[in-house]
Amino acid sequence: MPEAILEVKDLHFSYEAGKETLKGISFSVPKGSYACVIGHNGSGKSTLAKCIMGLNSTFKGDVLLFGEKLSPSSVYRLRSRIGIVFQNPDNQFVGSTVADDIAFGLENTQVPTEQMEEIIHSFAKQVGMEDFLEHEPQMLSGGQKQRVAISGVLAMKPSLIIFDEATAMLDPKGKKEIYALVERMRQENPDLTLLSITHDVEEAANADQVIVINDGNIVYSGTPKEVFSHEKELKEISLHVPFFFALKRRLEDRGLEIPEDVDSLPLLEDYLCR
Amino acid sequence: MPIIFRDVSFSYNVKSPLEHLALSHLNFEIPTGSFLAIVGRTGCGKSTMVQQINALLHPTQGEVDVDGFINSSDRKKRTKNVKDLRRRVGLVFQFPEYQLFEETVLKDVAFGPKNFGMKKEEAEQAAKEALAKVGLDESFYERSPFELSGGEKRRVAIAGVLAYHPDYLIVDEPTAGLDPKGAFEMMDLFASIHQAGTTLILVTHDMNLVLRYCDRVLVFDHGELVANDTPQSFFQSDMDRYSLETPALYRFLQEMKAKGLDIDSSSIEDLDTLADAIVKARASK
Repeated sequence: MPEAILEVKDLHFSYEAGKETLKGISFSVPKGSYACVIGHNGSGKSTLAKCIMGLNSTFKGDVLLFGEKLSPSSVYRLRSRIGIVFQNPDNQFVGSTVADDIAFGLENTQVPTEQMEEIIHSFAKQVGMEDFLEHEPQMLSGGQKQRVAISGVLAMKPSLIIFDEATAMLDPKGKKEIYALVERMRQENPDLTLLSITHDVEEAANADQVIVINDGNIVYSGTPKEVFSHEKELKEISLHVPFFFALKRRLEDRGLEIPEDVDSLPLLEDYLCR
Repeated sequence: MPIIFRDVSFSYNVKSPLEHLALSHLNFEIPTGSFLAIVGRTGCGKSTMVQQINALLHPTQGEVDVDGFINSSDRKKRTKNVKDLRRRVGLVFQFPEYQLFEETVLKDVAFGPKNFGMKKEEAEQAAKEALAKVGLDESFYERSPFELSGGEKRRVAIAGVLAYHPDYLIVDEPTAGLDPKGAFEMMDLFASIHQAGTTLILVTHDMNLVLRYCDRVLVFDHGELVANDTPQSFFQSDMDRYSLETPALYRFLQEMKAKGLDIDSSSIEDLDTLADAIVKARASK
């Protein structure tokens, strides 16, 4: 097993006495993997995210980041190795241009000015925004704004990036941009660990590990294939199954045999056309 | 009776340097009893179009006919009784929760019917019925609308329109900002209102909702009506040029066609019928 970047052990959290929002959550995310936590509004997934980011500090149980316990004395040090992309792209801009915005984190960590320009350019390029460095963030589309936010996060060279509903406010085109970028980031940085808190099951279809939360408990956890085999049970908690898994099961129900290695929609299309 | 657009054009800031043609020569009918979707990219004229229906905007050219109520570019032809028109055509704006203003939920919902001439008791009765329709029970009557959750506020705002029993209900992006569960609950509410006899006009970006709920779709692009079709047939056309997202099921059909398996799509409505059609297409290959 590769080392765990994030470990959550028997996590409990209550906003008011006697009413637990998280009722004992345990899971771990290995280095270099991509995990998605899914659940509908009110399931507890945002509360979980806040605990991991050190924004809810009164939890019971343990959160271990990079093998070290999250506590009031370690939170700032640990958080410096985590990048967070939030839901609303408009709430996370501080610079008046895209370049200033990417520079903000670098300035905070005393990167010398002469190195900065090159760093900014290379990270803007990673997210395909190098032609927009002098633009005002306000003038960009939602997908472009989130790409700038991601490049600002990448520039800090984090070991773990947390996406907290980062695509929830984007239109379909913006969502696709971000999914493609995540895919590319993973190929370019094999050691980068990603945790995404989302209610978009299509995104979860691409993850290594899917964790389903309902009413403060983990109800399913495993590979997309394992988790999304529970179509009926997931429907009862108002989650649907990604298109690929839903269609594959229906074809198998009708007697069509689909080989193990056909594990994505393009492959399924190819297989069916053969 | 249907809603009829007869050669309707509309420009903002007429005779100024900022003049901008927002709607161009629109001709179409919305039959009574439809569940109609209005789609198109941001800025295509969707919201401008729906505001012609209840005369919040007047056409620069042509006329809109709603059950004999005329909204025309010609002042003399325009219906004098705009209030009655607006009672028949309920319009729920985007993020309607920001329009709540009264001290209590019941007062807020009763405001519309009172404004349209109902007596206080009648209006309150109508408000109670409307609140029941949107799933808010009597425990909400005396609460302040401002202390409710986002979803509850939106329901109160929608009840405020339902309370005066419009014949036509126009809803602009009613699911924006809701999670899938909340969005389907909201749409199920509109489906039940439609079942009860109200003509529903839905402005949306979400093609999956169009596929699931609507019987007809009007597509706007740069102020022009570019398609007036059934969702099933429209989704098989090239939607990318209007910056619209093809639902997963139809995208899959297109891919399959491109890769050489021609599936008979006439009977496909959902994943189960899709799987049936695939099995059939493979068998006959």
